[in-house]
Amino acid sequence: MRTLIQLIKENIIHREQMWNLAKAFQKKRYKGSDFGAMWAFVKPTMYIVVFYVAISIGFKSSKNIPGLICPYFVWLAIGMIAFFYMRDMILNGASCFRRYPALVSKAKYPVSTLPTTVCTSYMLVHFGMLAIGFAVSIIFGCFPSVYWLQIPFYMLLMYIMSFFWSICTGLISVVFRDFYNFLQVVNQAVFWLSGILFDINRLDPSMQKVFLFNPISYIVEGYRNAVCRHIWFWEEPEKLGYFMLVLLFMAVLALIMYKKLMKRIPDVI
Amino acid sequence: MGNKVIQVNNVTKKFNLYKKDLQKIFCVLFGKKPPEVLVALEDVSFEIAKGERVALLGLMGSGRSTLISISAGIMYPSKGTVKVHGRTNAMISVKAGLEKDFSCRENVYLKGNVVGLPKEVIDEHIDEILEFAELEDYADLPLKRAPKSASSMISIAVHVLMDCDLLIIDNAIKGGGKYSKEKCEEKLKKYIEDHPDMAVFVVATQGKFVREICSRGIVLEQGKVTFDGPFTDAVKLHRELLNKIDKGQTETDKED
Repeated sequence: MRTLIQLIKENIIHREQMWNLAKAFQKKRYKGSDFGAMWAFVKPTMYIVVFYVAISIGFKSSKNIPGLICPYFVWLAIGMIAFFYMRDMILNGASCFRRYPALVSKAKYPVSTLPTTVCTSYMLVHFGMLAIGFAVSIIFGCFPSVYWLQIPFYMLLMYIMSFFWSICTGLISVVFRDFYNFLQVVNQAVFWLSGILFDINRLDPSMQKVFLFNPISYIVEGYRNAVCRHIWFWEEPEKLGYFMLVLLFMAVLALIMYKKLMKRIPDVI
Repeated sequence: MGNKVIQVNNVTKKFNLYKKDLQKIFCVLFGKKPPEVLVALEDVSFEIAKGERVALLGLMGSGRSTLISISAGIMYPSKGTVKVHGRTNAMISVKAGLEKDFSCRENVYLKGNVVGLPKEVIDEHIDEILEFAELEDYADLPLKRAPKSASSMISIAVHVLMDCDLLIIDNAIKGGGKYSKEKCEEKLKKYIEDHPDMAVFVVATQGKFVREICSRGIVLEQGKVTFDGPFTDAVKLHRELLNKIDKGQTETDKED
C-alpha cells in the first residue's frame, strides 16, 4: 500500500513533467512526416474499414449479433477503438523504461512517471479515435444517449490496467530482454482471442467464462455496451467482479515488482 | 545536519553480473545469489558542506561515475546511506532528454522539462539560451543539423537556470571544439560564483575548470576513498597513481 501511495504521490508532484514528455512522445512518432499526427488516426481507421470489408462482405458473418441497436460497422469500430489503445499499450507499456535509458540512468528524472507518460501519451490518440468513433456512430444513426456517459468509466479502468501492465512488463523487459519479443508474439494472439471481431455473448457459456478473465474483452465489451447495446455496467456485476479481480491481481503483482526491481533498473538498463 | 548539504555514509555499491538474462530475472525475482559480483564502491563516506567545491579524482574504473550517480540520487547504494539536504542539480549526461529530430528551440523546452523547470522559466529565457548557444539561425532546425556543440550548450544553459543546493557535474561539457568548451566552462563558473552557498561536486575530467573552482579533492582507488583533503594534494596523489600505471605499462611492454 505504501508503494502505491508513493507512486501516486510522485506522479501527482511531477505531473507537468509527465504531461510534457507524453506530448513529446507522440510528436516524436510522426516527426518529419508532412501529415504528422494524422497518421495516428488514418492507420487505425483503415484497419477498421479493412476488417469490416473482410468480415462483413467477405465472410458474411456480421449478422445476428443480439441486442445491437446500431449497425455492425459501429459495433466493430467502437470495440476496435478500445482495443487499439490496449494493443498499443501491450508493447509500448513494456518498453516504457527501455525507451528512455538516459532518463533512467543518466538524469535526475522522476522515473516512476514513465509508465504514466506512455499511458497518457496513447490516451491522447485514443481521444481522437473516440471522436471518430462517435462521429461514425452518429452518421450511422446511433445518437448519443445517457449510456455513453459510461465511456469515461471504462476509459479509467483501461488506463489503470495499462498503468499496472506498464510497470509490470516495463520492469521485466529491462531485466529480461527476450520478454519484449515474447510480448510481440502474444500481441497477435490477444487480437484474435479478445472478442474484437466476434460477439462473445454468442459463445458457449463455459467459453464465455474463459473470455471474462481476459480484461481486454471486458473493456471492449464495455465500450460496445455503452454505445451499441445500452447496457449499464452494473447490470453485469459478475463480469465487473471478474475484471476487478484480474485488475487487483495485476496491481499487486506490479507493486511487488516495482518494490523489488525499481532500484535495480538504473544498474541494468 | 549543520551546514552539510550531502552526507554519504558507508556506501557500498555492488553490481550483480549474470551470463544470461534468464539467470538474471530468476535471481532477482527469487532472491538467489548472483554468480558474480562486482564491487564498484566499498564503504565510501564523506560530507560536503554549503559552499564547498569538491573534485572527485580517480582512474578509469575506480568508481567515479557510480559514486556521482549515487550522490545525485540516480542509482541506489547496495549498503549505506546518502542524505541530501536540499535540491540537486545533476549535470551528468548532456544528451539526456534531447531529441535529435526536434528543433533546437523544442530541445530547449525538452531539456527544461527533464531538469524540472516550469515552462514559464524557459519562455522567459529562451532567447538568452539560444543566443548563448549561438543557435539563433538554427532555432527552428532539427538539432541534428546544428553544430556538434549545440547539445552541451543547450544543456548547460538550461541547467544554470535552476536554483539548487548541490551541483553535481560529470561529463557536462562534451562535444564541440575548444571555443564552445571554454564558453560552457565560463557559464558554469559564473553560475557557481553567483551561488556562493551552493555545494559543488565535480568529476575532475575538465582539468582547468576544476583547478579554478575546487579547493578540496577526493581520490577514489578501486572503489575506496584513499584521500580526502586539499585539492592540490589530491592532484599530486592522482598523478602518482597515473605514473605508477604508466611505469607498469612500460615494464609490461619491455617484458613483451
